Amino acid sequence: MSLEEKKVITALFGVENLQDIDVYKSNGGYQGLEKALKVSPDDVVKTVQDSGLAGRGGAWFNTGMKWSFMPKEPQGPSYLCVNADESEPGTFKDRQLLEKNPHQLLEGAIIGSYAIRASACYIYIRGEMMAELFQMNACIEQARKAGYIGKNILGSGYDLEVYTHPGAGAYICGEETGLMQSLEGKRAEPRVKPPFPAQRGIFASPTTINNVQTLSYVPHIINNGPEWFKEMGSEKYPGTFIFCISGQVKNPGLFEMDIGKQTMRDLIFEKAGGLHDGRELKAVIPGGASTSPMTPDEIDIVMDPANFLLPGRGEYKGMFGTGGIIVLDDTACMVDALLNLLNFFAHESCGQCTPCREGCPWTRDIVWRIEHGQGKPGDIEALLEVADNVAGYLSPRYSTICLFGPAFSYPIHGFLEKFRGEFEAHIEQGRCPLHQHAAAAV
Amino acid sequence: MATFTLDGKEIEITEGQGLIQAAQDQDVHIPHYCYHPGLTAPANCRMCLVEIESGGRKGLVPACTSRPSEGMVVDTQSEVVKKNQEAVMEFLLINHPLDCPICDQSGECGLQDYSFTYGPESSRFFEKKSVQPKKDIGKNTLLYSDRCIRCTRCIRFCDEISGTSELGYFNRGVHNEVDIFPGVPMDNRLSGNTVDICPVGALLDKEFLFKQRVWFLKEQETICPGCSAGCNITVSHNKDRIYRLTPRENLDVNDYWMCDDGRHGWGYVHRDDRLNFPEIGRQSEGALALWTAAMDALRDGFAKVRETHGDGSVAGIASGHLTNEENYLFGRLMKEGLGVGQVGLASATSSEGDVGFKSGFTIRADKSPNARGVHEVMGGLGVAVVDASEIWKGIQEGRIKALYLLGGGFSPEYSEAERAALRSLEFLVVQDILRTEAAEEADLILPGASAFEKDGTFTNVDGRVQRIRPAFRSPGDSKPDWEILKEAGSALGIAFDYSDASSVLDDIAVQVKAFEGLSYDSIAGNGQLLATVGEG
Repeated sequence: MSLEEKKVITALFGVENLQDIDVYKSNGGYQGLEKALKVSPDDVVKTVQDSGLAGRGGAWFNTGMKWSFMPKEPQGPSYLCVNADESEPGTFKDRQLLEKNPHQLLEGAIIGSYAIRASACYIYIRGEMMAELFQMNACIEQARKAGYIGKNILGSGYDLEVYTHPGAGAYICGEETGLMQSLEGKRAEPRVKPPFPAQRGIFASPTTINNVQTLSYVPHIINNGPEWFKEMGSEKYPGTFIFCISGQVKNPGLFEMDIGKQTMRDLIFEKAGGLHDGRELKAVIPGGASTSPMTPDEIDIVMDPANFLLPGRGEYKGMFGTGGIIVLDDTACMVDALLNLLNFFAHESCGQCTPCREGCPWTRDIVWRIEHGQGKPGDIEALLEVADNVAGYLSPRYSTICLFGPAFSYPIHGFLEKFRGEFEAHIEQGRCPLHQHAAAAV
Repeated sequence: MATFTLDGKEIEITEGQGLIQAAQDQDVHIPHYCYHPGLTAPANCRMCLVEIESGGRKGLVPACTSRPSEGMVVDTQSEVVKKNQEAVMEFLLINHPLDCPICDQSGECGLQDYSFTYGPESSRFFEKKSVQPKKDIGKNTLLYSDRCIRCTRCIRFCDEISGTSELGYFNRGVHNEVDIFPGVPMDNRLSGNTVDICPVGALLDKEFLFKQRVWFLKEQETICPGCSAGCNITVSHNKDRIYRLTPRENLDVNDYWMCDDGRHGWGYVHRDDRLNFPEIGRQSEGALALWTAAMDALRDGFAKVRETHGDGSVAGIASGHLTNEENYLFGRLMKEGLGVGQVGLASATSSEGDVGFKSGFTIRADKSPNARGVHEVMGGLGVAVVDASEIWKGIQEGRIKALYLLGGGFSPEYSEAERAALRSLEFLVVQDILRTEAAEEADLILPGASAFEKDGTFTNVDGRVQRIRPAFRSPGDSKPDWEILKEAGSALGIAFDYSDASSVLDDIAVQVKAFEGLSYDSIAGNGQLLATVGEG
């Protein structure tokens, strides 16, 4: 067990002016790109595949494998798209990576583009992060002047253009096919799969979409080799991972950790400084809004995706998610917490397909009633059934087009599985036992 | 032979066919809202989800975007599928106003039908409904958004078929709604189709609004008489009145669509100036008559003129608004009964020309449904077809003293010179449905039937022969034009031995080469192209 941070992609966060290409280069920047361009794209794919790097957006799919789905002899344009539309509640690592070390991402994106033979790379940055977008534009200009972007990069014969695109102001723009729609100037309504992006993505061309954190690792893997990467982390999920800890803790923040070397308890009590004085832990949301909460007796789990049912088919019945850990202490009302999440989801549902459009506000309204003392017998059963109609809990069965359906129905299952008593108490007492609400208009 | 399994039955795969259609061919109905065979499938209603096992994986997937493939196993009846259908019905109805008693769609509503078949029997929704506004979105169309289930068929129609893209999708989540963009109404000339394809009562036709409960309507399949395209339509009528026209599928002609011109073009059928009885005598002297008297007047009138002025003094004008059969009888009547080797035909061509749309759907410039048919049957009879202006010229020059004028459509407009020419005639027979300017000058009025009141066939602009059928009887003593022409022929001494319109077509098939092989049986379905189409 190690409680020390293992800094790879956050290692240079302290360096002043790292956003300047010269500073970045003097810290070893763009060496990975130079190295990658000397070998064939397929060799780059193989290196990344061998390293075991898995997508850090929450799906944990092998990145090299994903790249290998792209056409080896493209008949038309193909694209790499960087998903920098980070908007998962409690998750704030990509923003830091964009802000503190943008060239690292850009270098990774250029290497990735080369590996999949992309003719252009789009960096889709959440619209709320305009400062990061303007900064990225400046970085792209610097990289172009340095010959890392444009025609015949470093004499390799490879041409690439890199563009930034501001997000359109919705959570669903971060869903990969929603992002593609948004990038094309359409409403961010996720597409039906198949066809998958590698077959038909942006502008009907083969496309790979990678997360910011994932691509940030790529220059390091090229520089140091797959074996170096595999030395870190667990067997199934090598490397490091950034945990974002927020909520009712003393020292919230980002922690880049060796995967599989610490427990949730370590993260909360050692890294995040523990709870405020006199408070007790009530629940932890382990990795973004859609992951179901853990109770205090479950936090001794080693934080390795392999230990979670999703994605690692592990023993713990829950999702590992994005590393956005939200800590709730005993002053938090779990009904209110679920209401907060469902308010978010009901607001962000694109409304394209029926179960999500109708089910999300419905469940939100039921939870609102329970929290505001208007719950009635049968509400909990209705919540569970509606959630199940949208998606079976942690099962591959779901009735929506995209994973937004499961994303809002899992926490309903999870909260009720772990904290059903609190919901029942609300209904029985006809009020929230913890909070006093102003008399609410019905 | 590639096969897939549908509910335990092995089915041969038809290349290019989607799963919903493939299942339908096996009489397995997979319920759906957003899917429409003429549009792309967004898979957003989630009603058509079925369990498919393919490549070792089994899952709940939309049938509308699936194609059967070798070895695929489809289950449309599993518990998971049924549970999803019930869930989707519940979701669709929670925010629906359930105002069926005042909704035009009631009785032919996708929500009602599927709710009955697939939905839960009671509601457990106790929250406040999300209520959306009622909107006027175009000349012919209202949008009651509160009933909308956001299947987006209408939006896709305007994007993919009309190509006019007036409709968009606004707001997000449960608040999203279909709407027009500010100041740009949905006034494209195919807009009425959006009402047809709306599976619920959200899009409404202003003309039909609150006019009739659909269960009172009777339906008849026929062909739109509005232009030479020959769109296949259904006439919905009750008590001898048309309430609406809707398109019928014919992939060889109109796909699933019709234009608004045709859809709303039936008003003349019920105009007050319909001709209900034969009339003998000019203008003020005119008097209603029995058919027997009318036929005597016809015979005597023509005989008198021919006696006085000779054979060349009689002329006829055929009509593109009448059927192949009627024009055939008219051609024979002119040739064999009156010894005339040519007929006139008035052009009904609009100056705007053909109007095409993105999908290829075209509103034709020729506003008569059967001009091509006139040319074909007259050609087969050896009767020349000349422009009607030739006939007018003949009248003005005094060569023509008697005229048999066929109408049958909406009223044409006549110039002052033409009206003067009509007045100069010694004997004018007008066979029409409306009291036109020509009818005002007629010595003999023979009241015919509109295209919605008789049997027969039209030949469209491409040479496709299609069947029209009577929805109801023509008013008063009027009758189908082919019957009038049959009697007129008999009055002029020709043995017209036809029992019905069908037997006329059978005769045409023998006499006219282009119609070889055509009969009511052969043109059932999508109609049939003339035998000569494609030659030369």
